[in-house]
Amino acid sequence: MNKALLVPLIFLSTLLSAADGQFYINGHAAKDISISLGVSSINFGDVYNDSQVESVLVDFYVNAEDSYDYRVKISNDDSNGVLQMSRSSSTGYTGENITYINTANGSNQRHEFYVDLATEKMSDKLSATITVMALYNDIPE
Amino acid sequence: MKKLLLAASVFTLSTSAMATSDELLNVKEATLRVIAHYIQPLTVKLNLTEIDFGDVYTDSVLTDIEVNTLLTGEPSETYEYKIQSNGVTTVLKNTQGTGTFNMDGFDNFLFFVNLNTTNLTPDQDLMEIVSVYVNYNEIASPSTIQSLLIAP
Repeated sequence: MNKALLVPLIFLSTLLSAADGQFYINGHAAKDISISLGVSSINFGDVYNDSQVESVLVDFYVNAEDSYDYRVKISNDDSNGVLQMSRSSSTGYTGENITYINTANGSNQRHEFYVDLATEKMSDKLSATITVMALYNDIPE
Repeated sequence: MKKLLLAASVFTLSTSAMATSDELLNVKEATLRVIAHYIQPLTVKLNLTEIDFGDVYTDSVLTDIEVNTLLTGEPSETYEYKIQSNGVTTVLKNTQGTGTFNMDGFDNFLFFVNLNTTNLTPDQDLMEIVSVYVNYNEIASPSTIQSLLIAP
């Protein structure tokens, strides 16, 4: 058993001792991804059960390395399902997270989503936080 | 030999840690606060659901029946009310007004119901419905309605 292990080790050490010459290390420093939100707060004012509120557009910008894919995740901490979000103003509202992947172009890329309220689920004031996160999907080697 | 394997393991672990760290560095977050003021729904409850005046005759004089209206709603908010009958025989007093909910979100008001028996004819059965409409003064919300059955 020990012999069997020893053989590859000897081979490895031979290779290491034979490393002689030049080699190059190439790398590319991808720029730090950045994100900025157009608004810092939304106040829907007075709402009551079943009231219709106007959805609010939220836009934000992501700046990342050209041609790199990044993932956007939009989440919120409202556990009652009152706060609803969608990337379309008219359909697809959900209380769950929204995630999607986009390819950067090296400049500020505008993204948008809409915020609405499922007022029929309300029984108290709403005070929630939406978090928009951007991260590189896959840093190429 | 064991030392070498151990060293290899440490190297692997440290590579994983670096990868995690790299990933973390590439995450950026921004947050947004969302608030809404929830208005307590208006509820209206009457202490009576039906008024039965019993046997009446033309031109009989009946005693006013007092109806207590109990309301719940948004504390300190003002409301207005309106009381209507769907018939012509019921006579109502205190048919409209305003009020303010107390700090606990309660209020009440009284109104009075009677019958105009002048035009009643013998054996005429009567059934009218009195409705109480309540809505907030300064909040655009739908009226809350509660009904009361009037039968002589």
